[in-house]
Amino acid sequence: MKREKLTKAVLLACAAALLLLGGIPIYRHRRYQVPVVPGPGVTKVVRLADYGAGLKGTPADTPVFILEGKQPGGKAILIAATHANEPAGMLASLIIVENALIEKGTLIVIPVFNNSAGRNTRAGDGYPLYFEIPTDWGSKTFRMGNRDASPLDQWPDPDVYIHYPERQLLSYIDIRNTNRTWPGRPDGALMERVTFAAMEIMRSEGVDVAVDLHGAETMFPVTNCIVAPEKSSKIATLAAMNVKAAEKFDSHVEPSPAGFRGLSHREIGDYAATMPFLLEAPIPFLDQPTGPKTVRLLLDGKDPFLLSLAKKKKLFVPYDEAGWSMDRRVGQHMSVTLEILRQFSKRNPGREIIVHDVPRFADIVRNGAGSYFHDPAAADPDELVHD
Amino acid sequence: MTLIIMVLYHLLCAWLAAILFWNFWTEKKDRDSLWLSLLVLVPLLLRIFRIK
Repeated sequence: MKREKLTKAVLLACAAALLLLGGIPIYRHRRYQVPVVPGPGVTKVVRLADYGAGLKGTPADTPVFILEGKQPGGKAILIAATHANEPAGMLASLIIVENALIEKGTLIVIPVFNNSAGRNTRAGDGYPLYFEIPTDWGSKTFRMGNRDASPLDQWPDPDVYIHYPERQLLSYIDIRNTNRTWPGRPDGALMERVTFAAMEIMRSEGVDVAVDLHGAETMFPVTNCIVAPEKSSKIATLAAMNVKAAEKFDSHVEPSPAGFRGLSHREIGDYAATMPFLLEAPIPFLDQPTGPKTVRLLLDGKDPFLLSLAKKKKLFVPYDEAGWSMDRRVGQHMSVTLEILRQFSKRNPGREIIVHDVPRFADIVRNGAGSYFHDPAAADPDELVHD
Repeated sequence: MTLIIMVLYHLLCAWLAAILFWNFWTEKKDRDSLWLSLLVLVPLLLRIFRIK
């Protein structure tokens, strides 16, 4: 009897240790807040729920930074971390929030669009929970998220996801993917409410340009590109040509397929007057035939298996020993976004969006993305925004 | 509707967890059964406590 109780006590202690060791890091990751130091260009910080009442008090609500220029002009929205496991876009958007000055027009920035996915992980793939970017004052820690919203926030998944309003049949898991739930609806699943609120920003504020920042595998054909529907293709082409000529990197144009529903580059253009652009920068971390999914792979993009595949011409981007670093991806996003805004402004007098004081591709590759983040410890605590 | 399913799911998890714990408590000899009951309990508890 005594031995039986002792065995049970030991086993219970082991199970409790397993539960705590496995559960506490995930619990803390879900609640970890990244401090953001709003720069001199930020004139207002609102919440996505201000545009979609269905998000109030939910884990999908997220900060929206508004940067208004001294002079009126056009309006653009920058959306990042639609897929929270593609973090270069989030870093680029935060560099804008912490540094940009707007001369003309308005820039609206949502750094963590799918907030639930930003607090989710992919344990089965061994994703790191955090990554650190070196800065001039130490290092800044960010959450590494997942592609889809957490089932803790939106569940159950249907057997088949029927897109609203086009009724196209999509994979069940895409109902938690905010790049399949556009244009959304006010009373739909939580992620449909997220995209609906963003559509409401675009419709109510009269947004001219929407840029959605992503990353894609080097083995996926739609990578290193700007995905644009017909209405955005001219500006996308000019932006691609200009970055190629002036900044010496590729970002070709891919047409947005009209028959594939739920994606930002398709639905934003179809359900609002806004011109959408989706930017893809190559992220080797997401490729399947790589070594372990480490922070190092996420940051330097160097992998021997991809190198071997590159030699066999199996990748859709040039790839060598230099890998494809985070700084390079952030720099590409920044330059292509700025170039899209510049081309739009040139062609739309009176609707210009002119942005200053933000680095471009060469600056970020040379100095590192971290050199553009400000020390939250040195900032006024009342001005910090926790994202 | 989704909320109702979510609540029912958590109740089901709690019920299964209670049964597993009861099996663990009443098992007298089979050490494998004791260990397996606890292992299966872990993901259910993570969901009930809304950790994962």
